[in-house]
Amino acid sequence: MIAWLRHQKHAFTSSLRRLAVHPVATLLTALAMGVAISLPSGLYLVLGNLNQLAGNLPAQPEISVFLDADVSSAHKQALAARLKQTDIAHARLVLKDEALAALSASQDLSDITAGLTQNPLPDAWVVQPEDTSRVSLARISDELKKMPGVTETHLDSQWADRLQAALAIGHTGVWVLAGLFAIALLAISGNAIRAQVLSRRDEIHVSRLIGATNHYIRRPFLYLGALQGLLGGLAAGGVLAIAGWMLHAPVENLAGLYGSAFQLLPPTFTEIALVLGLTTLSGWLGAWISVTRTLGQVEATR
Amino acid sequence: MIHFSQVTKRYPGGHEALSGVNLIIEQGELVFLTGHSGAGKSTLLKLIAAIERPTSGSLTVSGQNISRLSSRAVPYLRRNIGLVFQDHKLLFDRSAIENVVLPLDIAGLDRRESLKRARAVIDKVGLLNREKANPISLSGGEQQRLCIARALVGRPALLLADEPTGNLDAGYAADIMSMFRDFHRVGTTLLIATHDDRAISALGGRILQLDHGKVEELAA
Repeated sequence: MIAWLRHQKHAFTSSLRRLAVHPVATLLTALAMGVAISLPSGLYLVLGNLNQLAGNLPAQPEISVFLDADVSSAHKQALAARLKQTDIAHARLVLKDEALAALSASQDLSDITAGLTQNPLPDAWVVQPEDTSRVSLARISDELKKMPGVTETHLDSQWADRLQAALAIGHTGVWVLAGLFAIALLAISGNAIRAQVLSRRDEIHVSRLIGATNHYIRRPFLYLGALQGLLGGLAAGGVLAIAGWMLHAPVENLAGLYGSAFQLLPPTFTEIALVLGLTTLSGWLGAWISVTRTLGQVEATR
Repeated sequence: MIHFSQVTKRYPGGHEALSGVNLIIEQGELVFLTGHSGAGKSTLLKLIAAIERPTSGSLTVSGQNISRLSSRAVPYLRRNIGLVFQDHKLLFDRSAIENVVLPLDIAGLDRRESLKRARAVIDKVGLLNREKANPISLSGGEQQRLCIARALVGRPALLLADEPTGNLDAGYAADIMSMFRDFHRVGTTLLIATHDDRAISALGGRILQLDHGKVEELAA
């Protein structure tokens, strides 16, 4: 057990030394990995920010129910009774005069509304159903639309739904990209490790002759791969931090033009740890595949 | 300690390096292996260290059957065997003492203890003032002594040397051989492949002659 720990320590320090001895090669490999990793993780961050934007929309989807201008009071009462049923959480009647007053006050449209000879707006109900799932919303919206005296219903959550659906596609895209770049990572790491194994074939050969196990020979290369992966992950963090820093001002400027306090969201600690963990793992795995293959070749040429 | 029974080694391509060798080497023996180059001396040593496997016959080393030894067990066999090579096989990317300490690192010994033992063994081969030097800056004789130090640092019961004085002039060769005599006196089993007749006559010991893959015992 103690010997095993000593071996781990020895392999770890010797691979650290390897990285330090070839700083340029180490840096270039880390940079190649960093750029590869920054693409899917960058896309992930962009989607996270769009999600935040979508999340700022009213959380409770509402259905607007517009009434006919000449709706009879019997139909009005029937609709009000329907809206008292248990599947409706909340319903609020907005009379056309209120709506016009609100429109004139809030949206700088007083010029236009002042010019109107009569109120063109209908009376409306703003309805919040109990069950806000998309299917249920659509069903209630349809049902209300078919009631007599109702001109039209409008589902306020529609564009948010569309955005959500688009984001879902984006998320799938992130995973597809992440998968592809994980393969690229394996290749980059594997190549770097292969070069290392070949440059140390004498040491490997001698170590074998004086009683080194496969594990002993493999171990420093695995550490090397894992460290390379970790450095690659850190480089990706650097790339994204620079990109975020550059985008920061323009995004706030744009958000300001829309009157929004939207800000770029940095990745959470868990997300950073996850990316670093995955890149380390990929580096290790690439090294494992490469060492296994290359050691076989080195042995065969002796 | 070493038991060859009808051991044949045929290389791919048909060359038969050893044919039906029978041989017993007891613990603590000093044995010279002579014969012209290509007679199979290196092959015999390689079989003992499980660098090559016998084509047929049975070979046991320290009670372990080499023909049936799993590749996992080979490293542990080799840790009990010191190997001295004609071309030294030193690593030029590290200092002399780091070369000597390598077998102990591989065995997983405490680093400080390892360095102490390495220094003691380097002292024994007379290179203590060169322990920090890169082996490439050492003379041929010094490199060979360093190689011997590396072979001995693990305190092996068996030392195999393949032409240890092959590239050295007479003075250095005598030096190396007297070193081997000292190891023999403390009980190490030595098997030395050489065609340096002066060395053999100076040390005494058992002499085996290899000729076309057959072993013949010569009177000492």
